[in-house]
Amino acid sequence: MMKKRSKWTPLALLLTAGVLLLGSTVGSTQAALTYYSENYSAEVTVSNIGVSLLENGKEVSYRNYMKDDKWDEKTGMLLADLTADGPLTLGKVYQEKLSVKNSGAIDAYVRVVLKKSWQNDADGDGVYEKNTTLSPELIKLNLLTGENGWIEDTDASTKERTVLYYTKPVASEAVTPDLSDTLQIDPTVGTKVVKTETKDANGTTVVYTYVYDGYKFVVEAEVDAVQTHNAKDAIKSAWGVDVTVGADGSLSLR
Amino acid sequence: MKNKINKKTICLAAAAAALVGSLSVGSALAYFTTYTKSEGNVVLDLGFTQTTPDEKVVNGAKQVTIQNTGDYDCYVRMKALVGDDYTISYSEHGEEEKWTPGAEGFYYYSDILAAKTGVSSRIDVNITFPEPEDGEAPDFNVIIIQECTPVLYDNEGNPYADWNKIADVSKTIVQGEEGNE
Repeated sequence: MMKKRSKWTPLALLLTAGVLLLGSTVGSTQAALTYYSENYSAEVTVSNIGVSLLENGKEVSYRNYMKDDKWDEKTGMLLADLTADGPLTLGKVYQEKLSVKNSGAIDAYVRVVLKKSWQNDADGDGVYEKNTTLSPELIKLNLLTGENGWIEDTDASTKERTVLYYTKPVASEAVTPDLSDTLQIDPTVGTKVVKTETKDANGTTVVYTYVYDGYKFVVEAEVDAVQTHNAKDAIKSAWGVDVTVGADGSLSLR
Repeated sequence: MKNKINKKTICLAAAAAALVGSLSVGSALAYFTTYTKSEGNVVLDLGFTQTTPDEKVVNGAKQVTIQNTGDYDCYVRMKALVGDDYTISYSEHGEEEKWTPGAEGFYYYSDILAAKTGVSSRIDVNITFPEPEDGEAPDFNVIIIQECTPVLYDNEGNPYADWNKIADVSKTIVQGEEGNE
């Protein structure tokens, strides 16, 4: 014979759910309350994450968590010193050492997404637009992947974009090895010319004009950082990639 | 009535579980992450290299210096052309010899001439005339050919000259009296 179910059962279940929800809220409230205690404040301080991009040893841009959802951040310009000694010379090798600093208070894994492109002002309206007739490969940023700990995710990289991962956790205030060392614009950019012959009573004047005169090359770098605690899930959640984390903390792509 | 209660119970239980579960999901997504970005660009200003020779005739010799009047550092070379009746030789007057004979009959200047301002040291083209038949000094015509090429750099950053560099003409425009653009 089946036991008759009480009409209070749904209500009891609803109350139980409510208690559970309240219990969760109480947990958060407790955390919020201890947030203001000295001990908890200290814990919050050591949980700050931050990352900086360095160019030739100088901090170009950074974004560091402060507190209360406030960030200390700066976005600077790359290549600002490239033409300090005169106009850019095709084929000349310029120093371009890029590295990453952990400017936060906790260890972090970092990756860098580099983008290279050509732009020109085709309409003459002062607005540069991306031009795909010139290959980004002519912008030769020499990468230092391999034994220094940087690896390239070749599946995610294209001619225009390169994705690099640093395979070791970066301690607070530590700087990674350089991921690049030089930048060079392929001199073949300067071999394409348009020949203009102008004929008049005095004869013929021949003027050669560089095809790519006035073009500009653009280099972009985005640095991403994520906590080392529960790294596998954190990286999957933040960057959308599957990784394996070794016992020594080393990272490898799957 | 019994079935109705069961369905309601199940729905309430499911809703409660979903609510509690969603709290856990929220916590799982709260990882510490950050990012920073930077961008840079340089506009190519591909002015042409240009040099201007300075020639003077002094005591039967042509004194030549070459100035870089273009936008880019460059190397220069020069040679003199004369008729078959004359012979020529080259000489320098500086302490260091910077003009060196090389390919295609040119003399090559060893130093880089800086953009806008660089000037080579002087090289003299000495002309030996044949014995005049009528005792009069002969007329002569010495043509100086000077060429320049922009400084190139190898992978180690060392400068060099490529005298075989050829422009790749992708398009030719003819305009004026006889041509159409």
